[in-house]
Parts: sequence; C-alpha cells; structure tokens
Amino acid sequence: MKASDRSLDRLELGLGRLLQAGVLTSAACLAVGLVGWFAAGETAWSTSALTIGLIILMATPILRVIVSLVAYVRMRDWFFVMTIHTVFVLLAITVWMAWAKMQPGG
Amino acid sequence: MSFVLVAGVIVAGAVAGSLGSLLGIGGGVFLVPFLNAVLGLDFEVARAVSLMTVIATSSAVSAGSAGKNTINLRLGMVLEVASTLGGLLAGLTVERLTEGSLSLIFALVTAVIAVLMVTRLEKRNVLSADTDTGLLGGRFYEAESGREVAYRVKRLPLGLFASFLAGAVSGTLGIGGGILKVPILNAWCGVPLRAAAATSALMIGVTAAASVPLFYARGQVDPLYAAAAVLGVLAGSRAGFWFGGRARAKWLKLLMAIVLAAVSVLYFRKAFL
Repeated sequence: MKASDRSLDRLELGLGRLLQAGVLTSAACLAVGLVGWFAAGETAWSTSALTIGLIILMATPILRVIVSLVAYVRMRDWFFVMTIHTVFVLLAITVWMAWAKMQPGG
Repeated sequence: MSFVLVAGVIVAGAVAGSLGSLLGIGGGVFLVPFLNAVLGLDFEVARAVSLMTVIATSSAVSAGSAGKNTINLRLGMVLEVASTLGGLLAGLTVERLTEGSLSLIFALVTAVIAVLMVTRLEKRNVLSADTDTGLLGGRFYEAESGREVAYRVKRLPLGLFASFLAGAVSGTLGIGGGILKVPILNAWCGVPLRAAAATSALMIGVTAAASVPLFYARGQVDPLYAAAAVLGVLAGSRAGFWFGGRARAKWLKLLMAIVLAAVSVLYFRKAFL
C-alpha cells in the first residue's frame, strides 16, 4: 500500500508538470498567432500558430490519460488499468470521428 | 472579422476567468452567454470556444494543485468514465437539438447553478488520518486544522450518475459542469469540498476533450475567438486568484447568482419567443 501511494504521488506530480507544460506551450502558440493576426492580418504563419496552439490544448488532457494508463500498467493495478483504458477508448472514438469528419468527403 | 470583436472576446474571457476563480467555479457559465447574447456569436461557436477555455482552466488549476494530495486521481479516473461518456454522447447528439430546446436547457441549468451558488453547503466529511480509506478514498493535509485528514467515498453510483450528467451538460452547453457535480460529491458521496473541487477541476478537461474535437471538426472552434478567449480566461483566473485571496466574497456570490438568474430568464424568453 505504501509503495503504491508513493507511485501515486509521483504520478500526480508528473501529471501536474505535463498539464503545466501543455497549457503554457499552447498559450504561447495562441499568443503568437493572435499577436501576428493583430499585426499583419491573416497569414499562413498566424493561422498555423493558432491551429497548433488549439491542437496542443485539446491533446493535453488526452496525453494525461495516456501517461496515467502507462503508469498504472507499470504499477500492475489492473482495476485502474481497465478504468483508464475505458476513458482512453471513449476519447479515441471522439478523436477518430473528428478526424474522419475532417478528411475530404468526410 | 473585426479587431474590436476579438478584443471583446479577450475581455469577456478575462472577466469570466476572474469571476470563475473568485467564485470557485469555472467561468464557462458566464462566458457562453456573454459570447452568445452580448457579442452575438452563434451558440455553437460560443459553446466550442468556451469548452477550449474549460480545458485551459482544468490544466492550469490542476497543475497548480498537483502535489497537495487534494486531487483524488483514483476517484477522478473512475468518475471520468461516466463524464467522458456524457461528453461524447452530447457531442454526437447535440446537433439534433433545436435552438429552442438548447435555450431551454441553458435556461434551466443556469437557474440551477444560480441556486447552487448561494445555497451550497459545505460538509467536512473528514475522518481521522488512520482510517482505512478504501479503494477510492483519500487523505490530504488540511491547513485549517493543521493535520492530515482522510475520507471514504460513499454512494459511488450517485457520483457516477452526477459525473455523467455533468459531462452531458458540459458537451451540450459548453460549460465545465463542476458546479453540478461538486455539491453532490460533497453532500452525498463523502468527499470533502476541497478534494471534490480539485478532483472535478482535473476531470473537466478530459470531459471537454471528449466533445470538443467533434466541434473542432465541424469548424465551430473559431481559432481567433478561441485563442482570444483562452488567453483572456488564463489571465483573468490568475487575476481573480490574486485579488480574491482566501476571502469568501459572499456579496459577489449573491450578485453573480442574480446575474445568472437574469441570464436564465433571457434564455427562457429565447426558448419561448
């Protein structure tokens, strides 16, 4: 029990850093894109900065789930592996359907 | 697209973000009606843009509270099964709602939130630190009493149901939905308010991620408005935290409950006129 509590603490800190990095990177891209748009109007540059920022923002919580899944597989805590795996499958359905929709003719 | 409108969205995000952090709820419930009814964006765009800010708030708040043990990762992951399912189902079906029924749902939910904001009780729910917390319970250091406290989770099916509902509402209306599940987790499921709030803050990001990619694919996440709103909310919630400190702004809560009641009336009128 103690060992798993320690891994859980480490996981929590790791996830915190991941979320922090995700939101900061995303905000930086969005700021670059927005300032670029204010300064020069719609350019390929500002559009891709905005798109990258938004994708990173959406990907951050999904990445958090994947990292948790790997951590629980390592802890061999199968109840939570199943739980997180279910969340992951639900997110994968969303992303897959969104992806299919964005393909030409989708 | 005008500079003024984008600047307006930044301000709207900043105001919603600071109100959100002052009141201890996400800002979405203020942002959506502001974007929709004041700035005149389509409800679909307001919802999609607001969900992006929900993710940003979730990541930022959870990064800040990581390591304090108030986030209950195990409970969060179990409840996320229900909340992401709710979010995904909402994302898939929300297109079928008519504008009238969407307005009606928004009116009802804002009315409920207005009531919750002023009547919310706080149950401590804490047990002594050496209690067996079970599979989903937790323990954390409680600053007020200066000691470690523990809690057990009760009535998990009710918590799952509340999370599913909050997820469905989140995907339908573009708000985080924390204010709908936190009182239930606190009042009936044995979770102390601080742990419920921190766990909910973590959950709302992944819940929004279950619906917002669908809205993104439909072209409803306008990149400029989304960027403006996200940056506004991030700045605003920092400012709100800085102003608010630890003081409980009772009058502000009451004032914003009145604002939400007015928003509710506005959307009731939209639904029926």
